[in-house]
Formats: sequence, C-alpha cells, structure tokens
Amino acid sequence: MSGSNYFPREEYEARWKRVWDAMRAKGYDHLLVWSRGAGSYDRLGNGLWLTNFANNGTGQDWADDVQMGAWTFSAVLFRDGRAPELHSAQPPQETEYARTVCGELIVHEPSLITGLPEYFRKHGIEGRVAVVGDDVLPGLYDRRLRSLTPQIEWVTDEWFLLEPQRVKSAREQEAFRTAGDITTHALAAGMDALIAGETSAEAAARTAMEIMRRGGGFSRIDMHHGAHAERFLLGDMLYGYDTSAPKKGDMVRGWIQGPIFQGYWLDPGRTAVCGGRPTREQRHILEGATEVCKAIIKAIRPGVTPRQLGVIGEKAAQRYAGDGIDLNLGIFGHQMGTFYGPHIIPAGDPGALEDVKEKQGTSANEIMFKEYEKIDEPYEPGMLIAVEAFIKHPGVGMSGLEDHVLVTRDGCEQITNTPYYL
Amino acid sequence: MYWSPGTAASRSPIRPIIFEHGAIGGLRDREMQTNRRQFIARSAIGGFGLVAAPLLPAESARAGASPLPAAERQIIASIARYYRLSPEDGVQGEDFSWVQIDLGATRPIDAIRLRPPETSCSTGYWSSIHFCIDCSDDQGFGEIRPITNWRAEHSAAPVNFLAYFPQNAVHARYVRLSASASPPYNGAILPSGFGTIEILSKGAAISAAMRRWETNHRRG
Repeated sequence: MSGSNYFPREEYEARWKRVWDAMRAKGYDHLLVWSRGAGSYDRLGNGLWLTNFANNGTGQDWADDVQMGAWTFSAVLFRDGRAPELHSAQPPQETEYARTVCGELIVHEPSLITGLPEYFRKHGIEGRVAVVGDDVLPGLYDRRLRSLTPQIEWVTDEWFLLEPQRVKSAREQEAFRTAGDITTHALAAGMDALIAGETSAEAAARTAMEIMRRGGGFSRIDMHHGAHAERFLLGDMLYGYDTSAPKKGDMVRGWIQGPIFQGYWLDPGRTAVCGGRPTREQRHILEGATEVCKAIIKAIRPGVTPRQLGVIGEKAAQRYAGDGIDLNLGIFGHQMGTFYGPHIIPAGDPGALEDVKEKQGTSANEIMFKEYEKIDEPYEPGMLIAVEAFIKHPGVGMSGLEDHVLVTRDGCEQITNTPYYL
Repeated sequence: MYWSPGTAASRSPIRPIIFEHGAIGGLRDREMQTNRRQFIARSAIGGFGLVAAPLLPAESARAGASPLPAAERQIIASIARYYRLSPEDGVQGEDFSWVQIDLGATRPIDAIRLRPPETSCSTGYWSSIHFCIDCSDDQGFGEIRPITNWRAEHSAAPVNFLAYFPQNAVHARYVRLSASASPPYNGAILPSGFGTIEILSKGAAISAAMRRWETNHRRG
C-alpha cells in the first residue's frame, strides 16, 4: 500500500488559490463542496481534487433518518481565505487522514448533517454560503441541514468548480496521459475480444483486467453487439455487458467510463465488426464517425472555439450523409476533469446564444442552455477535451467513437490511442 | 435500576440515576416531584441570582436528599461532537460536544443540575473546559437565550454542577448544553462527563438521560 500522495501539497495549494480567486470573482465568502464515497463516485472527484480525500464507504448503506449519520458524505469548507477544512463523519480509525491535504480536518460524531450547523453557529458562519453538490446530498439530509441553519442562505452553484478546474496543471496533464494510456490498452483488449467473437462479459473482463493491472479504476464498462448495439448507445442497462456473444458480421461497440487514474475521468469508445470484415455499409458509418473525430481533433489548438469545432465536425459528418443514415448530431464533445465537463462542442453552429436560450422550455427537444455558454470561449493550453461522434444506419448498425486530447501550445495531444477498426 | 443516594458500593462521589437506554425515539420523561429547596439541597448550594457552582459529594449529609419518586416520563438526549485534527500529525485541536434536550413544550426552568455517569469518572484530564447552557423555543436554536456559562479549569467533567434562577424562571422548550475543550485535551468531553441532566420545572425535576451514539461505522 503506497503511503505517498500522487500530487504534492503545493499542487493542492495552487488549486485552492484558483478556488479563492473564483470565489472573489463571484462575491462568495463561504463555499461548501459535497462529495460522496468512492463506492458511488457521486461528485467524489471534487472532494478528491480539493483535499485528496475519498470516503471509503460503498455509499449503499441504508438511509439514517434517526441520527442523520450520512457518514459516506464529506464536505469541504472554504472560509476566510484559509486553507480549506475537510468535514467528515468517517471514523479516524478507518481513514488515512494523514494522506488528506487540507487546512484542518473536522470529524463529526455522530452526524455531519447535524454537526455542521453547530459548527457554523459556533464559528459565526452566516449569510450566503455557496454550495456545490446539491445534486449529491439526498433530500433527507439536506432538509435537516437547512432546517438547522436558518442563518445561512444557501446559494446553489453546481458548476462553480469548473472554472478553477478548467486548465489542467502540468502534473494533472501527466495523470491524464497515464489515464489515456490505461484506456488505450484496455479498450483495445475489449475490442479485440468482441472482434474475435467472445462474449460481451469476456470482453468487459479483459478490459477491466487491463485497467486494474495498471492501477486504474472505472465505474462502468459497456460491451455490446448486434441489434442491441444499434438501438442503444450503451450496453446492458445493469452491468453494461452480458454473456451473449456476437456473431461474425455483427457490429460491436465498447466504451469505458470512469475515474480511470487518480480520479480523473475518461470515457473513450470504439466500434468495430465481429470478424473484422465490415460490409461496405458498415465501413461507411465506421469511417464517418472516425473522420468526424479526426477532423475536429486536427483543428483543436489554442484559440479555437467549440463553435468553430462544431462547424468543422458537422461539415465532416455531412460527407457521410445518405438515405436513411442518421448523423445523430447531438454533440461532438465536451470538457473533462474529475467527471464529465458540461461545456460542449456543439454539433454544428447552434446560432446566436440568445436564440439557444429562448429555445428552453419551448419544445420537447429542449436545449440545456448552460452547456452552450462557453462555445465561443477559446480553448487554452492545458484543457482536456473529449471528442465524439455517432452515426446510425438502421439495419446496418450504429458507429460511435470517442477520444480525448490535451490542448497544447500549438495544437493538441491525443491521449487515447486505441486503434480505429475500419 | 435507580440510584439511591449514599449507596455504599458507589465508587463515584456522585452516582447518577441510570435509565434504560433502549427506548430510542420513544421519550419517556421522568418527572420527579421536588421543590427548589430540595432540588438545591441535594447540591448544598444556595444564594441569589444565577449560580453555577460545584455540588457536594453524595456522601455529604447535606447532599442526601431523599430518593426521588418513580418515573413518569423519561427524556433521552443524544450527545454529538466534533473535533478538529491536523491531517499532518493527528494533533487534536478544538473539541466541542453538545446535547440538546426537548422538554416537549415550553416550560419554566428554575434550575438545572448536571450529574456524571455511574461508570465513567473523567479524572486524569487536566484541561480547562468551557461549558454553556442555552435555551430556546426554536429547535434550530436560531434564537438563543443563554442561561449560563462557566469554565472548569482542572477537570474534564464538572461532576457536580447546579445552575438556578431564583428571580425569574427561564421559559423554554429546548435546552442545550455544550462544552468545548482547549488543546491539548484529547478525549471525549460530554460523553464521559454526564449521565443525566436534571431540570427543575415548576416543582418537578425532569431528568434527561444522556446517550452517546456509537461512532459512525460501516453499515454497508
């Protein structure tokens, strides 16, 4: 068991500074960031990014409506410009607290939910408190917390940390390279299995082995084939794989999702044909998804905007349009960090942002305006971008592909390099 | 089983009233008919104004009030705590405990007595501890009325303590006792310091038993 941290303390101090800068910019005096345990990965990445703390609970223990134990949750509190406090109800004897990086650790017994209000009161914390993780803390606990903190005005700002996390440090980039290398090998192993006609479960197992033997982790591995893979983006709804095997000529698809290395999230994917001999129609959509991604990746460099990339991707996709072919133009990518970054590469030019905003609530195919907020913001070196494309041809299959790149000074560096299966 | 003052087998100077702790969530208050003279006599403390002073040991003749009547209701209150740790060296900083008692309705509070648990004697800790008693009609203590605060300089547990109010009784539904220790104190405060809190209210002594939850542990 390694006793040393991957990142040195100064890495975290630099992150805290970025958080304080962002707090000042938004006028926040206090910020509370919720995370849940490593077993569930519910926004675990935020707590990990800030303090290197991961609650070791499964996150699947029963709700505690008596003492409000909520022990698999933790919260990072920024206040008064000091090093952040990590609040946890995990017992010290179960915790490698020496590996956490924070100003102080505050252990609550028995409840973080009832303890925090007492702590706030005792330390004079009142007024506006920005909170990240409202989508993590269950209503049971949140209602109690709010009822016990009448002096607090909770300000939900779920995307607050995206800005401090946007540009990756040199050490983070190295972690992402490692994560990319892990998934490159793992996804290739899974795809080789599917192409060879092994079961989805076997393909997932080979993928998992490659991730785990390299010290990585994942939340989900999707391996599927045939009609299911044409209809559904991902594999078996429960596990992502089953014990069925593809037949020769079936389209097969593999996807990895999760905190691959040091909590950094990647989600690469590939499509191929079992037996390795695609038909002309199959090759058409395989090439289509590949060429869209290649065109976008080729254009990624500092200064380019997601909107521009969306136009490039759409133009590449149109070359593969045809009767019955669904170019499936959802998005062409998104930012990445300790989980999916919501700022997207649009599939094409969505028009004026005001028009996008007005579309909210006006149709069944509603657009989440906030995803588009940054489409005119130029990329900078150090950003991690996921590029993806899907093309569907009913009766033939669905081709999907996703890769990840780091923006560099003069272009980009592709960190996931699983082969294309054309 | 209930304590009878002066039990010879007692090793603790003041023995507590022991309640069954099994009735989680079911409040069975224990009201003991007494008057303030008796209530105070058991502490051998008198005087005017708000008083916070140590009680005498149970063996003292002046502390030997007659056994209390049988329980009618019992309140069980849970102790909570937080403490600060330095992640680098594990050195403990602030240690803060509190317990909140729900009297079920707004009631007059004439005096409050703290009693230690039977089995725990917090000797050996030599750190000053700051104790406060507050009350409120608001469960969230958004509005706080301080009753008293004091420092115990040389003991982790104020094993005998009485606060009473001869002029005007405080009226409140919720009573909260809190204690904070200064570093380098390294141990639980209230959990080892109290077994019961008795509240004298309009001639009735209401006892609240202290319960400490198990430390959080893995359940799944």
